[in-house]
Amino acid sequence: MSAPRSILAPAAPAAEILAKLGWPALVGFTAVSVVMAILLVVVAVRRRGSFAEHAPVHARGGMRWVVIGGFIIPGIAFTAAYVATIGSLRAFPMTEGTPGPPDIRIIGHQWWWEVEYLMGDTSDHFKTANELHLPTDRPVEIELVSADVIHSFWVPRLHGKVDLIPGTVNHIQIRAPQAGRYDGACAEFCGLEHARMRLQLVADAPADFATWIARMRQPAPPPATAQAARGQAVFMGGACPVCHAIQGTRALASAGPDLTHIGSRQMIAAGWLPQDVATLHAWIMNAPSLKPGVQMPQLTWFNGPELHDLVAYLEGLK
Amino acid sequence: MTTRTNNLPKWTLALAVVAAAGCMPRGENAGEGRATVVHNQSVDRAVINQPVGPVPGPGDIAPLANPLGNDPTARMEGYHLFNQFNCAGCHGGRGGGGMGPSLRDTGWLYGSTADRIFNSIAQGRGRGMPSWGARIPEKQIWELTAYIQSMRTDDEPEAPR
Amino acid sequence: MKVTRISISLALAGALAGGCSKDASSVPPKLQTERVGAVTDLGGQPPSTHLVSPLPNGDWRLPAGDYANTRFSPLKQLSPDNVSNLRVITTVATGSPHGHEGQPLVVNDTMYIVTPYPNNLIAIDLTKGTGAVKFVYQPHPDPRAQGIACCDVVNRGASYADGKIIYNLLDATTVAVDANTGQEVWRTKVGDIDIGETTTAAVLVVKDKALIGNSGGELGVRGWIVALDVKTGKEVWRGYNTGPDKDVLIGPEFHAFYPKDQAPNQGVTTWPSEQWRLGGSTVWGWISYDPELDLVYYGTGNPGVWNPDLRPGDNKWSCSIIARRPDDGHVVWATQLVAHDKHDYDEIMENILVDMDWKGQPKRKLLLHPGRTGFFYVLDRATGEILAADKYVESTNWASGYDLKTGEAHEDPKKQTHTNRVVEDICPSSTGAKDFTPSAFSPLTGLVYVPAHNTCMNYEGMAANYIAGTPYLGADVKMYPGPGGYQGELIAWDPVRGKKVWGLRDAALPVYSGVLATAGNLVFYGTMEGSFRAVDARNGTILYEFHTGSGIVGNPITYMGPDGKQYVAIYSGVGGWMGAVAQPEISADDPYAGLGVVGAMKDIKKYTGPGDTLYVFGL
Repeated sequence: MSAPRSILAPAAPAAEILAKLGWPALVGFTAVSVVMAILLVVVAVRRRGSFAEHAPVHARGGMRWVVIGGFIIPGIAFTAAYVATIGSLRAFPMTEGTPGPPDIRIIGHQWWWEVEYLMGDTSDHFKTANELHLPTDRPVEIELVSADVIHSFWVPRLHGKVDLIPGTVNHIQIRAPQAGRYDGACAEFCGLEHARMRLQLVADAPADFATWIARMRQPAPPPATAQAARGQAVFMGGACPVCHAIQGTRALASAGPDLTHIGSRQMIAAGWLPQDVATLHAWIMNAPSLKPGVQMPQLTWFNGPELHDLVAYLEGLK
Repeated sequence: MTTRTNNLPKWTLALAVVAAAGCMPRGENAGEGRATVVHNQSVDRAVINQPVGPVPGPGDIAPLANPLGNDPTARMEGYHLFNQFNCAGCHGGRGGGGMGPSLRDTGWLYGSTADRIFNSIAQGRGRGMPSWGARIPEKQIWELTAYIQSMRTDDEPEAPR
Repeated sequence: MKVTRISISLALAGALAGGCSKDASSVPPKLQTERVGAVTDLGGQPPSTHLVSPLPNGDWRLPAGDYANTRFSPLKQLSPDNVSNLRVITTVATGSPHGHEGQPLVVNDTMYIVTPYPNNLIAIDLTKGTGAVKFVYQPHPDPRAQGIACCDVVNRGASYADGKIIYNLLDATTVAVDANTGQEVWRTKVGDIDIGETTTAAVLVVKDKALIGNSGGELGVRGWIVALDVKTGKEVWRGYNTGPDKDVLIGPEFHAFYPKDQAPNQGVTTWPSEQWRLGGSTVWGWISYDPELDLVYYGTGNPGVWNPDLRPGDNKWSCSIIARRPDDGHVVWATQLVAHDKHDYDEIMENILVDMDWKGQPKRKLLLHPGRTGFFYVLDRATGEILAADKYVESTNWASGYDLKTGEAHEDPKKQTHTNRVVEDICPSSTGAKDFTPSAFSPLTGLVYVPAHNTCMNYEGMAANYIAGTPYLGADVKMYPGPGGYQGELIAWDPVRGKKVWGLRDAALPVYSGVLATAGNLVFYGTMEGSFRAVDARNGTILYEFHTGSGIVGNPITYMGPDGKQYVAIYSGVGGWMGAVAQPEISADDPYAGLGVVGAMKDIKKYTGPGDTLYVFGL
């Protein structure tokens, strides 16, 4: 898509409200800016004479310019903008009053998104990272918390920004009626890799969503091929279980993203790199070179075959 | 023929500059990231040349001093890692001991200098201290060392009360 | 046995060694003890009780002496009239200055001592004067196990059966040693130290099976109880305490009393995703057996990670009392005492089995369980119904009581712990109103003698990162003594009326020893500062006190010597979760250390230091 994170290409009711504010603002204020620019240019290039030729006839000449152009027109414009903004805020679907139990909890980390699905019974809860799926047929309550510093959750085509603030719980309700894949990003400067802290939000038709969530609730199956089995041994024997979890194995750490279904995610490194064999190799070997400052360390002690097996194993975790 | 000169008064120039500055997008307040920028590149590159597990042969290969020096960010990061890697569970919430011995006191089974603490963490020790050298990067072991060596000094982050 | 110069000097050396290892800068303070409660003796008839497995002779062959865990001995040579003449007859050094939490066995005139790590077995021939060492069996357990034992490298004792002494090594291995020769008969690995499992509990042999439970609830292990064949050591059955019903061994015979405990597969459904695999619910405390009902009873530990927000749900079967058939391990009933534990209230405490008249019903089959929670639970041991749950330590504030119809606690929401929130002043602390140190019951007085604590804590939940073989906690805990000016109390508790009759309060330190009750109307116990005491069971008067070389965290036993006289034996060697603060490896300036106990115990270094001596007392 040409404008994956454009606020002017809304795909959801919340974003439409903002776009209704954004388009007139863009057009209107652009028009004003153009007019001002033209005036500035006119003033700069028109012919001059001597001061004596252009001495003001009236001492208070030009006051009309000031009153109309400096007070009336801006007053009307800003009042209209103010009223429109207040109106948009009231229509914006922030959760009113005491929110019900959330469907999803997003925990912001430096620099990735931990996503906990809390739908269904307690034993149906699961964790994923950096990619979340929503059904198109109903709004979803999302709880936003932070594990370290202030982040901000923003999928521009769907809704406005809501901060993840340490020590506070924020809530947002999102509806994404059009199926599709939407890009999001952290919208509050949160450190070195703030610019590379992205996420993907996928809106699924209800049947697709049911299939997806049923698969996500399953632990990882035992490796299907010999290579994947070797890859699992490499995973378990090294540094990976210190930070990552693959449900169904003994690796159940939570300092880094849950990898149980990493093979089904379109992107890695928090929406920064596409998920494929090449990027997985590069990321595992030397994540800090791709995203300097990231918590994932260099792991240069794998040899070639080990790395191939490991990547094959991860790719198979769909 | 009269030459025309540009007679715009100087204050218009100043106004233009101010207006331009005002319109520039302002960065939001910088969040407090926990990343250390400066040491990142140089120490990580050293990992390729430094073994982090036990190495046969005479003497220690690890340098004598902590390459992170007296960096308070390293100490604070070490404090966070002390909890993240569950050091606190064995050695006590602020290193006072428990399943493992106290790291605050002056009794050291395997040496109290920075490199010896590094080795104890990297290699593990026989009575149940796991070996971390192949599991976490060298820089993080130095950060843990910095935190441990700051205990009972004025520089200790989150000192117990 | 005659007292000889050697044993006197051994005793003195033990006392001096204990003294020298204390803080040398001052004379150790005396532990202030105060008696509370009515002064009059118990009046009236002794209550009518029925003991299901009374001790048959003057031996002590099981950890609690008997299967029912009453720790009551029928021996009555020692009585309030003569116990003040008690003296040290002999001492034995075990060689391991760590917490001595168990008790020796006496079988056929031989005493068997299991030491803390390295878990040696020392056999003493009681017929030879001061007691000659018959053999020492050295099993050499894996030294790496020392670093994963949460609460000192302790061992809580052995069982004698079929000519063998059967006990656990620290490294998740069980051994059987020929009681005469000291040769190893079998050795079975029952768990995996690489994932944090250890075995510190006492083995209980029931019929032809040795029952063993695992430890490691602080490291995210999955709790189980296993039955090994006494002759061969082969595993006969293993019952887990979390997970699907087929692993827990819940089948058609299972009938929980309360609706909340009845649904199928709650060992999975009451946990988020796969957390039940890290669900704790270990069995590191005491196991009882009722030979009449043929049921084995035990309690389970905390549900793994300490931060409750990381494991929403009731977290079954943590903090529960479970009844199993010993032959096949199938669960007959289970009652969860604390759902969704928020304070590390392990309920592995002793379950004392006694038939007593209960509110008009004659000889009801009771299970008495003084809980970690501060509530004294009385259950019907045939069904699992909670008949009473009364506060036995006044400062208890995490809950106001129990709804006996539903079996649920009325919790105070202000004392519930959460992530990133410091909740202050929670009583009792994680160490509990009592820890595992076992109570005793006397059928002569009808009272349970409970070694209790008065400790409170602050608790902050944090993120927890599971790394196999390392602690999985997610909590910053700081403990301190509770209100009232005392931290320990030996409580004489009337289980039928649900009231304390008398108590002996220690000011500075909790009471962390086991208790012994005898038919001579005596109660024996020890203080954490090392005093071994004989107390009148009826009114709490201290009749005899001897200051041993180190704090007492073990359980006294009594036996008939080969000369027909009654003796009492107790370990003196401080350690364990709370006692380890007395050891030099723990620093007193970090109140969060030792899983939070240092805050409550930092003064213990003034009172005592490490020791490793068994004392035998007699007239």
